[in-house]
Amino acid sequence: MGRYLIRRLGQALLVLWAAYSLSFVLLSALPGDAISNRIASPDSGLTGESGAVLLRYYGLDQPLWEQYLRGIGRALQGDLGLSLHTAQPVRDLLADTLPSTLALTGLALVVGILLAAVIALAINYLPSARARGLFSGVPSLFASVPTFVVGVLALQYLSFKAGLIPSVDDGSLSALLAPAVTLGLVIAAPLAQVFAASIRTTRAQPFVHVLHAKGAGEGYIFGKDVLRNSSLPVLTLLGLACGELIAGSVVTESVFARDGVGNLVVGAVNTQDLPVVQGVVLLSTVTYVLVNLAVDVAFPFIDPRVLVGATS
Amino acid sequence: MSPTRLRTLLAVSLVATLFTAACGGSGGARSAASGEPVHGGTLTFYDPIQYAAWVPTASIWSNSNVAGNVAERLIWQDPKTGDFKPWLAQSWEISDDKLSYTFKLRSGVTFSNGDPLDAETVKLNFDQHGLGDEKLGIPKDSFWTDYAGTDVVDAQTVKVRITKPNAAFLQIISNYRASSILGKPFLKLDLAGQGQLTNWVATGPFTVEKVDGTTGVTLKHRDDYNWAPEGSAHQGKAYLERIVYKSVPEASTRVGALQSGEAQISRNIAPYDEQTIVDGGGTVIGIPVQGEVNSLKIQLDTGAPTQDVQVRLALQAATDRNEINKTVLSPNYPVPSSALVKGTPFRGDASSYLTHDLAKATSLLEAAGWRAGADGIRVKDAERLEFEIWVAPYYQVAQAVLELLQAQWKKAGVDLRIRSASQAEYTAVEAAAAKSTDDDWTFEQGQTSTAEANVLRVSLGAARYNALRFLTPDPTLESLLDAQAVTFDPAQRKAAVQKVEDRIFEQAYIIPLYDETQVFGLAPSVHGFATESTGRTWLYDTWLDE
Repeated sequence: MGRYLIRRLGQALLVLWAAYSLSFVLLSALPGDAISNRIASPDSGLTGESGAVLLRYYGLDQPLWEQYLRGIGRALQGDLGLSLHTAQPVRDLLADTLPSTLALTGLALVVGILLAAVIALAINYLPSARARGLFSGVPSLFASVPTFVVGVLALQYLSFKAGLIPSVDDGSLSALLAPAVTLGLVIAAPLAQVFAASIRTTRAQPFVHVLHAKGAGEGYIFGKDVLRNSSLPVLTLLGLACGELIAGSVVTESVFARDGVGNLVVGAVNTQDLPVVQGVVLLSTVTYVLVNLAVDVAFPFIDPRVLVGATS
Repeated sequence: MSPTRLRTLLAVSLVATLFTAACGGSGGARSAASGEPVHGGTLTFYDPIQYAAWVPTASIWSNSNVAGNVAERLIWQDPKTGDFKPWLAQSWEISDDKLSYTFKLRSGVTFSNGDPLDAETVKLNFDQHGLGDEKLGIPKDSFWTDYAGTDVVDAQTVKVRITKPNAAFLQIISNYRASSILGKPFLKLDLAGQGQLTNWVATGPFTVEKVDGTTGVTLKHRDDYNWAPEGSAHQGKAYLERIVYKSVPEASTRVGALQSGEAQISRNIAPYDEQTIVDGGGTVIGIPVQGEVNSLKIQLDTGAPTQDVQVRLALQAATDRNEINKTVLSPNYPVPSSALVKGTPFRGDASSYLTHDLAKATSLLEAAGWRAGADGIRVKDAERLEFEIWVAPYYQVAQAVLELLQAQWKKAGVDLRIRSASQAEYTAVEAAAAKSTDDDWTFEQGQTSTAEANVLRVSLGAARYNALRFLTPDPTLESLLDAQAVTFDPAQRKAAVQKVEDRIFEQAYIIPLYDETQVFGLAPSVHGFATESTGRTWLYDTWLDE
């Protein structure tokens, strides 16, 4: 288990470095940068000489490789640099916006899991075959409607027409609910599909037939055996779904005008604010790596057979 | 035009007329108040743009809507008359040679940290504007040219010296992005520190309570504020207890929020949304932004056919501004009749140059040797009369206006090709075009807002912003721009500005599209809404009824 963890951590660091470097290369390849764009903007009034003061201040007059090395060096010390657009330390910007995004994605995760469970159970256990068929169409429906459509519809009807929820974040739970449900729908679809299929496969296994033959009830079998056996693929997918949540929060936070990492990155990409984009890339990479590490570590506890394959 | 569209326009114009009548037909920025003003309440303000670096010289609209309510200047420029009124300075004197300005500061003014306003603080502010501070990373302020220094005469008196007379200097002192007075702790910070609103220490009626990243700001009023500019509707503390600013990019959310009561003011209402707000009982207020009109500035560093003045004059004549106003804008965007927006002090009249005349346009093009080609587009020496234009992302109505212009110019045999891009891409292409002299960047849509005719010199002067990108300056235009800046007699100044306008339009250097306007949507509960001289909100007199 120890060596397994060390190898995973090494991989994680490699992924972090690659993400950082790739985002640097991609954004540097674009013409211009946040400060040059600001200087060039028709209303900026900055002339060549004052513009040069700004470029020097942000170190943008240095060669690219020097900017890159300095950036990496600082990142290693936990310093992510200054936002070129708001002049705030990127670390502070992330710290300010992360709680809001965590609340959103956390609640969305709960909503997504609950929805997925309900749908998967309905597909497998509803008494009427017609109802089961109806529910089996739900995941594809959820998956095919884009997030922003759900968001805009929710705003139109729940907020502007019915006045049930505020349309932008005012810190209340009701303001969080609509975006969380919107976002939850996105991950509910694949989770439900995989969970439903997994339950179906497990229920077809011989040992379930044996349990039935012994007279165990459907509920007992599900709680004791089916759930555990069908949750592994769901868990793997859950790790991936967290990535989906981060991506989805970009759209959701924009539509609902919520402060958060997603909104931060939209603004940063629009203004070519390289340090902020890199900060968010690093943060999402860390999250992604951690979640998947947690999933991998949780595996042996659910199914000890996994470890047999991993250490051999 | 569809009947619905026509009805909408009629209704909007009716409302606009009623509104204009209510505030005396001026470019005024005050909504009719009903009942007695009350103290208290939180006003929520939705803005489409994220907040960026909070340096005092930032021009980004969303920032300046907030910053002006926090930091103040020595002089207040009346948004309606353009007159200068005492604010942090109770009086001022201009030396006979127009090279020094002595300001007597108002006594009893304090910064939000308790420091008193004194001459030394003012000097520190002006030095930072006029000279910049390389060590702190603070660039010289482009408004502060020819700055010689500031002397502290006594604790309450400062003398600002400049090296060349400048008829627009008092306006610079009153300008929100050129001369805000901030406290000493703020001035010691470097650019990054100054870029954070929570660090602002100023004298305004509101102080910063909270900043949420780039999406929100909360201001709270100061109980001990008692130095409102002369001409304000009241004295003492501001009526509003709090102002919550929020950046909301979705236009439909900004409009919907006014109806649901979530927001009381929304900025940047699109022409097609104006009616929705009026139907919901709200008010739509279009505030002319004093300064340059929104125009296409012909870029003279390109090799385009617009090098020929006849082609430029033809494009001018082919442009139908009334149709632009009626079809894609609303009565809130006045039809331009000058290089300057209506109400800008010393504005000239260029209406005779700006009439739509398709026959004139075609005959000018014929005379210049451009003959109609097979597809209707004119050709000369196997070159098609076609131009590329990029939609300026700063103006919400830009795309619609350009599409109509494309149709208008086509009638004269000119092919205008419209390209759209994200803001980052736009500024990058623009910056590349600014460096190169061999590009397709023939027109740049833009305007600079300053309530002073001298804005033309700042914008068009070859030694200043050089918005026309003269490779060799036009000596006539340069000398006229300089002449108006050193003319102090009002009548002579007006004549001098008229000469500038005549030169600009005889040469057709710019193609005006509409008077730059800020359109705000107001909920019915908002009273006493006002802006400062360039359309940025000044919410000191604003109050809410419950």
